[in-house]
Amino acid sequence: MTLLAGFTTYVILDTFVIERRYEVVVPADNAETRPNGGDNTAGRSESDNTEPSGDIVSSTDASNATPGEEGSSAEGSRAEESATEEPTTEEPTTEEPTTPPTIVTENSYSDYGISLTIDEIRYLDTDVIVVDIYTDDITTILSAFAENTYGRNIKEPTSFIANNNGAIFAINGDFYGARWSGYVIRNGVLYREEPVGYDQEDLVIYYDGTFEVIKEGEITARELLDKGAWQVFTFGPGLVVNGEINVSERQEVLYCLDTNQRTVIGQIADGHYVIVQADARTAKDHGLTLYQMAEFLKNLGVVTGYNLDGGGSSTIFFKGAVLNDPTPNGTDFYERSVSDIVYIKYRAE
Amino acid sequence: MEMETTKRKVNFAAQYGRKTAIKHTIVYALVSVFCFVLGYIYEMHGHGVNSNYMIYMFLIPLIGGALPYLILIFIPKTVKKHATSRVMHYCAITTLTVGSFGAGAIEIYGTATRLTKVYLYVGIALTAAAIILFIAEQYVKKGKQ
Repeated sequence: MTLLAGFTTYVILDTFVIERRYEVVVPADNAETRPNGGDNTAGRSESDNTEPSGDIVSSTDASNATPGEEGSSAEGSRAEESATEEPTTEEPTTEEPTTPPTIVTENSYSDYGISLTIDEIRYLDTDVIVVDIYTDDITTILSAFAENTYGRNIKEPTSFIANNNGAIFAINGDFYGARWSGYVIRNGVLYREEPVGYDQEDLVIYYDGTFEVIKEGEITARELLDKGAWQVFTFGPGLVVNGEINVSERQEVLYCLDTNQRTVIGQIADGHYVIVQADARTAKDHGLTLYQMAEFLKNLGVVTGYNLDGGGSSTIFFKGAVLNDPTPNGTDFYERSVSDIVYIKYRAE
Repeated sequence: MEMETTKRKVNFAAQYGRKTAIKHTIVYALVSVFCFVLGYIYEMHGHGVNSNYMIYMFLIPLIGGALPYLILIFIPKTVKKHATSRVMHYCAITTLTVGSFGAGAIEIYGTATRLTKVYLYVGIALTAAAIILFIAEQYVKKGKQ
C-alpha cells in the first residue's frame, strides 16, 4: 500500500506539477525549404528562452518575413550598403514607400499586413464574440507557448503569454501540453509528430493561407510540414468542412458538457478568417453545443471551421484586456493557465 | 472417534470459511457502494464532463471483489484458509480501483497521462498472482492431508 500511495503521488505530480521541457522534432535550422525561406525559431532548447514566434528571418526574403522582423532585416541591408559606398556630401533623396498607419480603435485593429474587427452578439442566450480578420499574409497569425517554451505542465494565462509576445489580439490555443500526443507545428516548426489516433482531426493552416481539417491517420506531421504547414492544432473536432457541418447534434469533445465555452477558428474566403468565442457555465451565458457552434459558423459563411480548447480555457484578449469572462465553474472568474495561444502581434507603422 | 474429530474439524473449517466469505462479500459490496457514490459526486461537480473510468469504477470491487467471495459462500466443499491469496486479491482490487479513479479524475480535468496504465498492468498481475496462490493454497493443504 505504501508503494501504491507513493506511485499515486508521483502520478499526480507528473500530471499536474512537474514541468518538462521537450526538444523540437524538426528544429528551425532545417526550415530551408519553408515557403518563407527562413526559420521561425520556436524549437528552443532549455537554455534558450527567446520567443518561438519568428525571431529569425532570412534577410533575402523580407517579403515573407515573420512580422516584426522586416524592419530589422531591412535596416541591416541598408547598413551594409552604406558601409561600402563612397562618402558623398549630398545623398540623393529617395522616396520611401508609404505604409498604411497602424490604427487601433475600441473594437478594431489594422496595420500594413492585417486588420481585424470585433463584434459582440447575443446568440442562443450566450454572449458570442466574432472577430473578422483580413490578411494576405497568414504568417501574421502566430502561435506562442507559455514561457516561450515547448513542454508539459508549462502554463500561463492567455493574457500573460499575449503580453509577453507583444500581442494586440490573442486567443487560447489547443492546450497541446495537456496531452502526450497529437501533431504540434507552430510558426512552421515541428514540435511533436506522434499522432493521437487515426481519426483525430487536426486543423492545418498552410503558408498560402488555406485552412484544412485533416485526420492524423491519413498524413504524417512531417508530410504536413513538407506540404507547407504553418500551424497545426490538435483538438477538434472540425466543425465545418468544405462549407458543410461536420458534427452531429449529439457530438461532443470526449465526454464534455454539451453546452460549453468555445473558442473556434475558421476561414471564410481567401484572406478572410474568423475567430469566434462563446462563454458558458453562468446564468447569463448558456453556452453552445458543438453543433450549435457549427451552425453559427456556417451562417457566417465559414468553409473550414475548427474547435480549439474550450471550457475554462476559452479566453479572448484584445488591447491588453480579456474580453470574455473565463470561468472553470460558473462562480469563480479567472483565466485558466494554458500552454499556448494564437495571436496577432501589434506592429507600429 | 477419529472420524468424529475430523468431521468436527471439517465443519468448523466450513463454517469459518463461509463466515469469512460472507464478511468479505459485505465489505467489498460496501466498497462498491462507496465507489459508486464517490464517482457520482465527482461527476456532478465535473461541470458535465464525464469519464467512464469514474462512472464504472464501482464495478471493480463489486465484480472483482464481492462476487468471488459470494461464490465461495455457496461452494459446498470446505475451502481451506487462503490468507496469502486474500491479501494479494485485496491489493489487486485496491490497485485497479485507485487506478480507475485516477484515470477518471485526469480525464475529467481534461489532461492525459500514460502512467495510469501502470495501475492496470500491476492490477492484472496481482489478480493473476492471487488466483494462482489461491489454487496453490487449496492444493497444497489437501496434499498435506
